[in-house]
Amino acid sequence: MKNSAAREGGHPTIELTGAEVHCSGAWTLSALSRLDRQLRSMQWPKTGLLVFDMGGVTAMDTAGAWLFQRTLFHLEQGGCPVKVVGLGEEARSIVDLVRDRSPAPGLLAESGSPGFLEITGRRAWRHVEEGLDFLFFLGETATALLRSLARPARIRWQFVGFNIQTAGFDALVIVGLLSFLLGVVIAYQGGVQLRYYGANIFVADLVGLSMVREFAPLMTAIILAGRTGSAYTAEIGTMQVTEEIDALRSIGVAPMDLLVVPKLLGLFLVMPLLTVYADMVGIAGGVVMAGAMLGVSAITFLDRLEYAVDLTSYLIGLGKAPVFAGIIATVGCFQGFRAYGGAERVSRHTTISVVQSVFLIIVVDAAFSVTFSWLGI
Amino acid sequence: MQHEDGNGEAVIELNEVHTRFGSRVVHQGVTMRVHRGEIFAIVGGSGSGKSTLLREMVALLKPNGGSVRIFGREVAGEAEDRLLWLRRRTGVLFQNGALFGGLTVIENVSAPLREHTRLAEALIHELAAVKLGLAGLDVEVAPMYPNELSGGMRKRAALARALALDPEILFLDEPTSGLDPVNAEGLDELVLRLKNSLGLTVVMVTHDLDTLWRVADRVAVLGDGRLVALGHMRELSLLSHPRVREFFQGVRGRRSGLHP
Repeated sequence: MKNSAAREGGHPTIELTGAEVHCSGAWTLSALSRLDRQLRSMQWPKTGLLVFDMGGVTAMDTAGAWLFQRTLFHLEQGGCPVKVVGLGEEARSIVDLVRDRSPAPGLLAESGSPGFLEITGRRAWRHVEEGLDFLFFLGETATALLRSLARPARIRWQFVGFNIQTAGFDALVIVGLLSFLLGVVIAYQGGVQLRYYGANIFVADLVGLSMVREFAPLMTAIILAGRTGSAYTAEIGTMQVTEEIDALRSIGVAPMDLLVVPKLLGLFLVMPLLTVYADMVGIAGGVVMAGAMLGVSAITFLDRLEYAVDLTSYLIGLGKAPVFAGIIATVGCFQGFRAYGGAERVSRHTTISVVQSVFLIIVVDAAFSVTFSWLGI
Repeated sequence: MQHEDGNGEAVIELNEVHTRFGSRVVHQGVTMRVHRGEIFAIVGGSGSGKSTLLREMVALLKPNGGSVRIFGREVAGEAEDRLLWLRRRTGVLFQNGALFGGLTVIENVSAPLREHTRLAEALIHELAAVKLGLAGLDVEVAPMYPNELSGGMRKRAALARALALDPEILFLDEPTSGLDPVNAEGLDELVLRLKNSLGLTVVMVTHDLDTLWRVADRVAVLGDGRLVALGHMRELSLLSHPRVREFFQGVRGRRSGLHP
């Protein structure tokens, strides 16, 4: 009845003639836009009694009742007494309901948006807080890890195994493909220069050293940050949102032991393996390109490789892998635990997780390079 | 307020609704009519298909057979984009609130207004605040996120969102579940008052016998995939059908059975 009347009741109108206000039409949500504008720009008399004749109003819902209520409130605030006549029984009960239940219109004034300084301050503080939280989490992870290592029987090996499969074995194809291409690219770019000097054979030094020392660990870490770190965040974040983390706690399972330690151990094992694999496939890419472009045969290449890449370089490259593994696992899990609140938070923290891991990996890698050159190795 | 079937304007008509999930038959021919301005409750044991029936009424689920007519128009199996009129005229309170986690309370309530009307931003904000008030929430909760609210407040915020467009039919899925008795009673009062003032038609699925006694004009009891009884609680409490007795004779049933 209400809405069919609204559709037939015509547009809501308000007219001011002298001290009388005539309202008519259907004061319902679908047609309020114009009425709202009209009301906001209306020139009300400054003093004297205003009589609202609501006789022509055919329908009213809570939205219409609010507009009416707001108008009365502002008039009375302005010192203009108001009398309402002709309001139907049904409409009156709606207006009463809205008046009883809604906050005073004054309260609704938007609390102005914060200024530039406040926003900057809040943002900065949020980052400080996050940094402190991360340190805390790092400490917690370290204790959980040590505790687990002290009692290996309590480690959930089936989860470690699962992690080795998903983070390691399942990544073989993508890590292999990208490393191979990287080897090809380095050999090609370097080969173009080396050819000018007739130093074709040094392509082995170039590909071997750069792959083993820098690119294989870096490439593997970046792929795993995108592939595995994001999955960690999404998994833990979803569990956080659905209160599964709390449920684990409530049945006496430490989320750290179940969710973080197996991931960390799994990555510690898998990353060096993947790095060695990336070394080999990358160099294979270099061999293929060197043969095709520079006429350096595979045998010559590998012969030279033996002199070019010493054990130190190899170990330096390999040594970065567990560090990167630690970064990926802790950042991924940390961001997951922070994703309480809703699905949207999970997606945001997944993004943050990948960006932060990649950022930290590159920063740490740079720090390694600087330190090693300082130490002269 | 009519307790008998057959009088009053029917806003919802279910005719021989059949539903299966795989081989499990949920409804085998449910027929009922909901009249304008009444509070219609659907009850039944777990797995009797109450919530499923509600989802079919709001066209979120297509029944395997039969027809569902809202305001005289068939909605079963209609394409989503042809159901906007239905979305515009009905509001749904989901069991767990289903508030959008990424939006604040006031943004949640404003969302339907933003989608379906072209009102000025300021008016949308005001109307959303009014709906919060109607649902019994303070304006202070407006800028909060759903995960910062208690269960009862979340229900109320969800109710405010369901009321945003001044719907003609309000669907409530377990409105009082998870609420303490005081809060539950408050919500009942609210639904009654909304019905009386706004002329709302309310369809609710509930287990709460107190709610049923307090607010329901008619109660439909589902059992074995069929409608086994329909009437006011007073009438139902006298019936001897085993499904109905089952429903009344739980401990909670006996306690609430003492109600006037």
